[in-house]
Formats: sequence, C-alpha cells, structure tokens
Amino acid sequence: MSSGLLRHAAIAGIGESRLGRVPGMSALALQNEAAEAALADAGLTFADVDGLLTTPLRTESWPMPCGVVAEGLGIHPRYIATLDVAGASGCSMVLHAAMAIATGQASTVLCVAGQPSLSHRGRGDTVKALAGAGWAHPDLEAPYGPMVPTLYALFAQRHMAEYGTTSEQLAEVAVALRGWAGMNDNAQKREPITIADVLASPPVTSPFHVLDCALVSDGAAAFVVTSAERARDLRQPVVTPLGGGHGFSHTYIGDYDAPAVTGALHSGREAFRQAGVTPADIQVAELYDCFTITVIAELEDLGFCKKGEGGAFVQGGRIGPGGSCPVTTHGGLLSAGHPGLAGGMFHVIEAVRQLRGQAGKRQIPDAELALAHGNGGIIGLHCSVVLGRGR
Amino acid sequence: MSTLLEGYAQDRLLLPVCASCGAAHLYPRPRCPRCGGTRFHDQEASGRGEVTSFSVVRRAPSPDFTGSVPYTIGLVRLEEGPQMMTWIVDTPPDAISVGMKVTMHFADLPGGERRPVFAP
Ligand SMILES: [Zn+2]
Repeated sequence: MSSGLLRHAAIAGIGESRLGRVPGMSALALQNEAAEAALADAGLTFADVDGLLTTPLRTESWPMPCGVVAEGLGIHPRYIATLDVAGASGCSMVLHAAMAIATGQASTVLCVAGQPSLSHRGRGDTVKALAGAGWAHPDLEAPYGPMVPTLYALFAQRHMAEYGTTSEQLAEVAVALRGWAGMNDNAQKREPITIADVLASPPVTSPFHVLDCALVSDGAAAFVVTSAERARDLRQPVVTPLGGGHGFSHTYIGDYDAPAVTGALHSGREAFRQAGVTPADIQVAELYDCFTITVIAELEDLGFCKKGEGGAFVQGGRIGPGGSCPVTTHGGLLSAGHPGLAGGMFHVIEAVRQLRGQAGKRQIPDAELALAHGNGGIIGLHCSVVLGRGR
Repeated sequence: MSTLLEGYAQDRLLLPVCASCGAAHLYPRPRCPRCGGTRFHDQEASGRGEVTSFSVVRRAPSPDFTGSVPYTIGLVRLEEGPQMMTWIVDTPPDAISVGMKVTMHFADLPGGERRPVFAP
C-alpha cells in the first residue's frame, strides 16, 4: 500500500476506560467503557461501526476474541479480525484499519482491547501467567525459570556491557515517564519519583528494579478509524496516519544476537520514508515502554540518537516534562497503566490527543507530527506509525 | 521428540547442524535460517562457550523456583556458534561478567528437567 492510501484514513475518535485498579469489571465491560468513550468522542454510535479489530486477552481464553467482543458490544461488522502482534498490536491496528478503509472492507473500524489484569488476579499471578505464556521457549528456556522481566533483563544487561549503559540511565526513563503521568488524571501512578527511588525499589531480576518494569492494570482502550474525508465532517480535529511499518527479528530472546539492532530500525525507517519525514521532525514520540531499557533501545533504533547512545540521551530529563525530546507523554506502561495487549493502544491515543491539542497540562505546543511505536514479544516485533494533523 | 531432547536425556548437548551449509543451530526448526536447507545432522557440542548476558533472578516465577532464588540465568554463546539460555552456577553473581568463559555440565532444574548449566 502506498503511503498515499494510508493518508486516506483518519483516527476520528479515542477513548479510555478507567485505568489502574477498577474492581468488578469484566474485560468486556472495560472494553465497552472505552468503546463508548471513543465513539462519543467521534460523534458516532455503535450503529455506525462496520469494522472491528481486537486482540486476544491474557486473563482468559476466548475462543475467537473478535467474535466475543462483537457479540458483547452487539455489533455485526462486515470487517472483523483478531490481531495479535503482542505489544505492537495498538500501532498495528491503525495500519490494518487504514487498509480496511482503503480497500472498502469497512467505513468505520472500531479498534478496542483491554482486560482486568490487576483485579482478575494479583500482580504476582499475572507475572506467573506471563512466565507461562510461552515467551520463554518451552524446552530450551522455560525450565530455567525466567520471568518475562528476566527475558528483557538479558537484553538490558548486554546493552549495558556493550555500550556502558547504567542503572541510573535506565532509571531516568522511569522518572521521566512518571513526570508525565503526574499530569494524566487517568494514570495509575502519579506521585513523582527520583532516580534514587528507582534504584532503591526492590530488585526483581538484575539489572531491573520494580520501578524499571511496567505496571499491571485493569483497563481498556479504543479508537475509531474512518476515512479522512468523513472525519472532516465529524466532531474532532482530523489526525491521519502518514506512514507506517513493521519490523521483526525474533521470538525467543535466547536465539537473538543482542545487542544487534531491533526491528524498530526497520519499522521506523519504513514509517519515516512513507511520511517523508525524519526523526528530527517528530515533535512527540509515544514509544512503547514495557521496561526502561525498551525506550532506550527504541530511541537508538528509530534514529533519535546513535546506537549505543540511548542511555546518555535520556539523561538530564531530556525525554520528560520540559525536555527537548518528549517521549510517552501519558506516562506509558511504566506509570499510566498496562492492561495487557491494550497497553500499546494508549500510545496511539496519546499521539492523537497531542496532535489535536487536547493533552491539557502535558500538551506539546503546536504538535503537528507524532510517532507512535509499539513493541511485541521480547523486543522482537515492532510497529511504527507517523501521525499528523490533518488539513 | 527432537534429537536435542533425546540428547538431554543422555546428558549430551546435540546440536542440529545444517547438512547444506554446515551452520550449527540450537532452536529446532524445519529450515536452516542461514541457507534454507532442510536436512540436519547432529553434532555433539564441546560444552565450551562464553557468557553473552545474564540476570540474577530474585523473585520466583512459580512455586517450583521458590527455594532456588536467587539464581543466575545466563545466555551463553557456544564455541560452535549457537547461543543458549542456561544457568550460570558455582560462582557468586558479582563474579559473573559478559565475555566470561564457561563450561557445561548437566544438572537437575527445580521443575525436574535435566538441562545443561555452565560454570567458570
Ligand atoms: Zn544451512
């Protein structure tokens, strides 16, 4: 698909459920809350929806997630699919929905996902469920007892050995994102933290402390994709995808030659090429942040700094409030919330909010170009989308 | 059962080696990622390698591991080429570094599997 076709689509509505600890809500109830908010934001109703994209859950096993969600929301879309590129799903939904619009498969695609990760089970149980979710190879890795954070820690430790990245630099990422979350009323964690707080938080799997790791949250996110032409007649300023791409390197971290570049190099290169822009043109970068190291690697591989210099790049508050390179301005998975595969959708939503000028106290002045970036698996599958304010 | 697991049952690390290009692998696959070859023969690993990364795990991922924390998960690059996940044992975590030379022996892991582990 040429980037020209991508630009025919627009994100016309965005919505979040309550995020954090939201007791008594099923996955469907959370998703309904987000979907209602997104449709209301666009000035649309469920009757307008003829396309649906969702993801699998990690809290329960649905036989056909897109069918369960369609049934739960009472819609009968003519375009319907379950998308699973793990944490990259949020960004990937934008591209898939735009393709559905461009090819006439649908006129209005509701993208929605979410789950009660926190209330369904305790945090410890979620970590254990993730440990058994197949991210570790069943024969070659799982018998050694890695947690998902361990799999990322192996990437982080190698980055530190190769490039001299420090625990303090990792902590800078957590501090910056917490700073943004302090200005997001829906964020799960809003109290400020310092580098010392991160380093003093309980060690989990070296080099990670608790505050280097994503939250576990209840919540759901939704956005509505339609044609740019139709979006101009709807309620909100038009935001369009200008370029996008995917990049894949590996599924199992044991088989990955870290610290080689990640798939973010390829997803970013393609997204920037289609959009006709460079990283220097991006005013706000909503980067996936499952762990602090993830942001540092993405900044390098997407081209915001040179390979190996991500640690130094984030020092001095550069990616936090008031910094020259604002990153993940809603607070991300580290501080706003991480309800399963929906986690990466919040980065898309925040990019749209920034481009509309609706980000409140955390608004980047006159933001016209944003990058949303998702990462799935063990830093092995990436999706980048350049978004712009429509005309 | 793959030859890899058959080897583990005999305390042997048998690497699938591509019959077309000679590249040694570890993760079982139907096609050689280097040349696309589909025929493999087994080669017994020397058991020598070097640490490419490691993490000291302080929280047990399941009840099986509760009595084992802290333990050190490592990635080791075998001298034949493939990298594998393992435990780094018989050495304090502070003494482990990327690039450290290690050698393999077999041990029973907390879940009951018998697997290669590495020590300096
Ligand atoms: Zn071969």
